[in-house]
Amino acid sequence: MQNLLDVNELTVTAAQTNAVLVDRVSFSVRRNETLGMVGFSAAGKTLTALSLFRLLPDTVRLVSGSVRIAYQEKTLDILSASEAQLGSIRGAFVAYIFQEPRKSLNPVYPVGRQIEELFLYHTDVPSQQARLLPNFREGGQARRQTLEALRHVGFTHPDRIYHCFPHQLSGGECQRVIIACAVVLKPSLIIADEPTASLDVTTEARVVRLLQEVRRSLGASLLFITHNLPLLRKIADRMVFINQGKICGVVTNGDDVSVYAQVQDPYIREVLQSMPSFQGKKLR
Amino acid sequence: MNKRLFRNKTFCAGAFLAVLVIVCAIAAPVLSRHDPSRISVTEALLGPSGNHFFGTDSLGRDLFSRVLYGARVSVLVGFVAVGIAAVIGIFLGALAGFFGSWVDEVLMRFVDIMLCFPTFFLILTVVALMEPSLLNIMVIIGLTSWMGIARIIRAQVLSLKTQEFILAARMLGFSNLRIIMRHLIPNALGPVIVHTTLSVASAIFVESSLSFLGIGVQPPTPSWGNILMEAKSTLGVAWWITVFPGIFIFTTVFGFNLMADGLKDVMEHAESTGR
Amino acid sequence: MLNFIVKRLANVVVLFFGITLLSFIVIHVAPGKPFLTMEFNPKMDSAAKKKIEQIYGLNRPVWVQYKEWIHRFSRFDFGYSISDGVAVKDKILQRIPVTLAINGITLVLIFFLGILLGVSGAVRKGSWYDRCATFGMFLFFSLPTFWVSLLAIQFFSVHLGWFPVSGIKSLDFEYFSFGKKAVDFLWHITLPVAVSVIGALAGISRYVRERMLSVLREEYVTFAKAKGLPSRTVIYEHALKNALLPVVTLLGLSLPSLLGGSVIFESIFSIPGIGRLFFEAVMSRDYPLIMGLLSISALLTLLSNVLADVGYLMVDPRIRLAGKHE
Repeated sequence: MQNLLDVNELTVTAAQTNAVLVDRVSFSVRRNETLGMVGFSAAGKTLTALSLFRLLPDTVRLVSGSVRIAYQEKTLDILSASEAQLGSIRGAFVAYIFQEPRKSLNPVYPVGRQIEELFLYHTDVPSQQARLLPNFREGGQARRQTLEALRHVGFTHPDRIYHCFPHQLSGGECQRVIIACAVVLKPSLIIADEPTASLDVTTEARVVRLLQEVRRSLGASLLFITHNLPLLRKIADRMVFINQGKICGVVTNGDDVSVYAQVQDPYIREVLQSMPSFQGKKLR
Repeated sequence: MNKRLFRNKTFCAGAFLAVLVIVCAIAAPVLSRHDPSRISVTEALLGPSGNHFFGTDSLGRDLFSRVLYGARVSVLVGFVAVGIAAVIGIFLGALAGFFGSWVDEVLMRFVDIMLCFPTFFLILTVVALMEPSLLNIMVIIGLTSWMGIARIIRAQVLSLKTQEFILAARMLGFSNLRIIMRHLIPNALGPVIVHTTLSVASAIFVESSLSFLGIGVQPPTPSWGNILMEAKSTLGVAWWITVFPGIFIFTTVFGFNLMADGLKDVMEHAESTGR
Repeated sequence: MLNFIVKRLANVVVLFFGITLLSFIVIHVAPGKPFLTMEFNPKMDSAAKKKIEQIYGLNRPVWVQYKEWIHRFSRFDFGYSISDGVAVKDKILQRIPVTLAINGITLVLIFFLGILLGVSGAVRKGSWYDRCATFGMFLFFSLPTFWVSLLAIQFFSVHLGWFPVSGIKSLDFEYFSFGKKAVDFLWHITLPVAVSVIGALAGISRYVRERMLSVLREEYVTFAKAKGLPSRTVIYEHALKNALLPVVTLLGLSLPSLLGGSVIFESIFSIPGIGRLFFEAVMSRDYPLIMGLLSISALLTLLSNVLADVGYLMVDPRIRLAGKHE
């Protein structure tokens, strides 16, 4: 398979009312690229992202479509995969990063443990180590790699951070912990759903830089979902526009004129035109 | 919202049962075939029959009519006791929430203290030290069940206090009393409704427990509880004296609990959809 | 954390005084003098009655009585029972173990059964199991305990003969070995505990189910799933611990209603515990005994609340370790 991820006619409806929330969405994620997904709130971005690996809540239903990934030299259809297969794919092939970093971390366990458990459930660790005990054995390989990952995302004292609880860390620090979770198993795809929306501007810049660096070093693809178009213009290779559950344009990033030229949808054109960087430019 | 209420199955089932019991209570004289206090030693301890639907007790009184008249006691106690508790609870809760600071502290400590006592112990104490009568029981139950309501109202008032329409009322110079009575309380009542429905069930249960222990409604006035008191001594001999009043207590309590649950579902739904 | 403890302790002290004050007021404001039951004894003349008044200090001003009461309370000296002259403290002490044993066992049972039912219901939300379990719990919740007790005795003791009708020991208890005594005791309290558990189980299991459902919707649960953790791990390690945190507190708060309920079933099953003692005290207007029992039960409730708070403190890291790292 040429692309990393192919989504075809994906449709998601509300379980109770059958209202269509994601309407025959199709797009692809290429290898080693940063794909931005832009749309306003409630455009269906998060639902699309969650449905890719069957993480939808039971208030919505995935009705039709296909999601195929290039996994272990083969093409795998997610929607027909077994729970066991999904278990190995999630976390190892794909990693998610959500908007609220504190909410993604379990408040009653130390953050280090929440990274380390990825090793224990994905790698071939002997069974006695595979049980999560309150006090992990020091010096184990999983522990070492966890500390290494923490160092990699910028913590200078990973051993101290390891034992901290989420409420003891700042928002930016929590997000870095989550990025550490995302990279330890060297995934091929990172899906970041508004990862910086709840962070302040400086922290946002740091986190975005970190994500880019991480993506490059892993050779992975990054699906960056946001409503912040200017940000995407700086980091994305291509951009997918989504509005009210429908894809309304796929654009290769470039200078303003070429981007505008690729867009047919009048709604998006309006959005683009309202951006400060587009003001005063001659656009067809 | 009312439409949704009547479509809610739980609520309707509960309401049906509750109404059934209330009808029994009101129509007791019409529905019963015999005088509930008519003693007839020759007919003592007869099983259920066409003449005596629920059988007779040890004094030959018709159980069916006694149970129906007992419904009156229960329904009355349920509503009056909870009425009293509601008045006290709403009043104190609104005061605590509205005035805040030391008023709130004092009142909430008082609530905490009351909650430390096993309520039943308190009720027993007071009821037994006064002459047990229907009125006393209703008042006592009311005086010991207001705490939950007070807390709920207080929480509601606290959150409503800062909303704009209250600030507007203040700026228009409305007196505190008027604000509390006309603006805060009506808006705070929502969550209380579920609690009061549950309280009715609880009050009925307490009254029957007290009567069962002999310090509630006194014979010969029939109450489900005091009929069961007799059942204790005829255990094994006359199963009908145990079974029928109990079924009625259960049905009533169950009905009100169902109503409360249905109300809760509807309220939560209304809250999340903002209607 | 220290903050939390200090605040709770201050609260406890306030509540303690409030409890003593309230019980004192209740007894003395309600009409009905203690020797009313003795009034019908024609042999008692007014001089004797006066003497009794003096001995029990019933003719002194109320506030003096209260002060003395506080002093004696701290030494657990509740005076002497009016009906038989035995020290109140001793009477209570003699009967408390049984009640505590029964209620303790009940609490443990509803804790485990409640969690089991609540969690399994939440995990299988909407299934037949869940709906039956929820309905069943609702049913149990609405059953009047004294009625259930009567029915239980009627059916299990009289009809089937599986359990004893009353009491806490068999006739030849004294001759049993320790092990047999223990079994005998447990056999006797099976029905009362069962009745108690049925009534209280509903509350806990519903609460646990709601907590579990609400936790399962939290983002960290989705995140855990997104990490590829098996669903068993997600549910029983990540979700469960968070869901159960406030359940400990709820258990502590269940004690007052359990104590209240014990009045009824101790009377029915003829169990010599403080519930029945309270009832007897109330019937004979035994002031000192009533006061002692009211106060002790309130103290027990206070204690169990404190224990519940401490328990919560120990398991929730957000309270245990406040403050950010450096």
